[in-house]
Amino acid sequence: MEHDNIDRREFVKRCVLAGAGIVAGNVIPAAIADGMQHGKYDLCAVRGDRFFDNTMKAVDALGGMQAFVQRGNTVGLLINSPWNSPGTFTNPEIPLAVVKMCLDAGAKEIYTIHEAPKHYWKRTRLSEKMSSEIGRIQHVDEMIEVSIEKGKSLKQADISKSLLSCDVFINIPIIKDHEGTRYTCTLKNMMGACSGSTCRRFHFGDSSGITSVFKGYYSNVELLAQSIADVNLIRRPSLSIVDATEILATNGPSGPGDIRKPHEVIAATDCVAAEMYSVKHLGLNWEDLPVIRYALQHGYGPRSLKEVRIKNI
Amino acid sequence: MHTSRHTLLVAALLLAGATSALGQSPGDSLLRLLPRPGDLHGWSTLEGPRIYNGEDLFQLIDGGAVLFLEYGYRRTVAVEYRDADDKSINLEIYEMQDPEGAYGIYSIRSGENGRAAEFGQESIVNSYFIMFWKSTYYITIGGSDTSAGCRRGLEMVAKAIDRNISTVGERPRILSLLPRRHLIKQSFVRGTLGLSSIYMPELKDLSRFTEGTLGKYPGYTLLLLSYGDSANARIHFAGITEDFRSSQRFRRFRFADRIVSVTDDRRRSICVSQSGQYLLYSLSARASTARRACKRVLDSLPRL
Repeated sequence: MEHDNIDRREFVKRCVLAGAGIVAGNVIPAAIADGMQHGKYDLCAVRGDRFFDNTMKAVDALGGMQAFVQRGNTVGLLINSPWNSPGTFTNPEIPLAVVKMCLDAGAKEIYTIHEAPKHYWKRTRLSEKMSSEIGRIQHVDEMIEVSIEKGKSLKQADISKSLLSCDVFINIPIIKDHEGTRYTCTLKNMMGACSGSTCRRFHFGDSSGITSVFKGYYSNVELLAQSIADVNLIRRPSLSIVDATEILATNGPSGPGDIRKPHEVIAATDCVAAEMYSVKHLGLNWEDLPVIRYALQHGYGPRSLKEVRIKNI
Repeated sequence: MHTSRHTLLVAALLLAGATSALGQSPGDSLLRLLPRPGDLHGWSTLEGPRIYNGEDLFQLIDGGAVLFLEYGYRRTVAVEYRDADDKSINLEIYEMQDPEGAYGIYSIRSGENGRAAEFGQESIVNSYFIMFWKSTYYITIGGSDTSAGCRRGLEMVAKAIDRNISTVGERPRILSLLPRRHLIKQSFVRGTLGLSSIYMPELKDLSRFTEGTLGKYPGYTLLLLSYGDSANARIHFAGITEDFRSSQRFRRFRFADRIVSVTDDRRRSICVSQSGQYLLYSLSARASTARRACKRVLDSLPRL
C-alpha cells in the first residue's frame, strides 16, 4: 500500500476500508514517530502544589504547546483516569491544563483515548470554571486491530482508533506502584488504549489464567513487561506529562496504600526519558526495570538520562 | 498444614461445582457478609454489589490481580457507598481459598505505615483506608479522602463486616520459625510476587518453593523458604550456591559452617544456608550482621 504522499488520517482510513489490519513499526508514516526536538529542553520537572499552573510551566520549558499542536490539529489524550482511590489516577488539573494549552494553540478537536468516568472531572474544583473546555472533550469507542511485526510477546493488539487517527498524541499517566511490574507510568499507560482482551494477553499470553496457575507467575511478569514494550511500538506520544504530585507508593495499581507527595509535574518529549526520570519517586532505579530495558532493546528511548536535557523548576 | 497451589485450585473448582449443584451461587456467601441497610447511617449504596470470580478480578484491579491469584484467590465482592456530601467509600471483600492466603495478602498489602486497629484478626488503619483479615477473607475499605466523615464511614463498614464473619482462621505456622525479638514486619509468601520488595532476580528459580516468610529487622532481613522436603531443599541450595559462585553480580564468595556468603553488586551481604526442608537467606548492609542473623536462626530450625 502506497503511503508516501498521504497523511496519517487518510492512511488509517484506507487501511480500515481495505479491511487490512495496520502493521505498526514500519508502515505508519514517519510523522507519527515521537521524539522530535522542539525547545531547549527535552524534559522539565516543576515542583509545587499549583498543579494546573505547573503543568503549563513544564510544557512552556519544552517550547510551549504550539511546538507540538498546530492550528486545526486533532489531539488524543491518554489519561490514567479509571481508578477511584487517592494516588491512583492522574490529577484532573493536569489534563485540564493540557486541554487549555491545546485549545489555545488552535486544536480543532480533543479526544480521550480511554474514556474518563463521568465523575472524573468533578474531582477538581476547576471543573465548574472549565466546564466549557471539558465540554469540548470527546470520546469515540472504536477499536482497530493492529499487527506488531517487531513485537516479541505481543504480535497483535486491538487498539483505540483515536490513538492512530489523531494528529498529536499526548500521554498523561500517573507514576505509581504496581504489584505486577513494580511501577506503572508512560509505557504501561498504553494499556489504556487497548481492548480488554488485548490487556488480558499482556498478563497471560494466549493461555488462560487457570493454566497459568500451573506455570507459576514469575514468567508472567516478564511477559507483561515485554508486551508493554511491544505495544509502544504502535505509536509513541509527541508529549508525555507525568503526574508525580500525590502518588500511590504501595498496593498499586488500584490501592488503597501508602501515598507519597513529591508534588512534581514532569513533561517530556520522549516517553522513556519521562519514565527513567519519574521512577525515582518510588525509590526505584530505572536500570533494574524490565519494561525500560525491553523498550531500549526495541531501539526507542535514550540510553540514559545523561542524553536528556533536563530542566528543574 | 501446607496445601499445594494445584490442589487448592482443584478443590476450589470442585467446591464451586458442588455449590452450584445445590442451587446456590458461590457469590451468595460473600453477599451475606455485606453491611445491612441499617448498619451505615448516612451512607447509601451507589454501585454494586458486584461479584468477581477468577480472572474477572482483572476487571476490578487490573494487574493487581496477579498477586491475589498467587495466594489462592476465589472471588470478590465490591461495593461503592456514597454520603450526602458526595464522599465515597469503596469496599472490597476478597475470599481466599484458605486463611493462610487471606493472611498472606494482608501481610503484603498492609505495609508498615498504618496504625494497628481492632477489626478482624489483624487490621490497620491509615489516613483514608482500613484493611483487615479474618478467616478466609481479606477486606479493604477505602475512602475518597481523609475527612473525618469518611473515616467514620470506614469504621462503620469495618465493624459491620467483622460482625458478619463468624469464623476465624490460623496464621501460617512457618511464621513462628523466625525470631519475634526485634521483628519490625513479617509477611507470608507463596510465590515470587510476594518477594518483590527484595531485589534478587536469582530467586526466580525459587518459584518451586511451597511457602515462605519474610521478616524485616533493624539492619537486616530474613527470608525462610520451605521446599517440602530436605532432598528438594538440598537441590535448590546447590543451585543458588552455584549462582552465587559463578554470577558476575556477586563477589567475596565464602562457604563456611554450612553458610554461603557473598556481596552483591549493590554492596549487600547475602548469606544462605539449608536446614532440612528450608533455605534461609539473610540480607544486610554488613557482612557480620547477615552472618550472625543467619547462624542464630539456623540453629533453631527443625531438621526434617
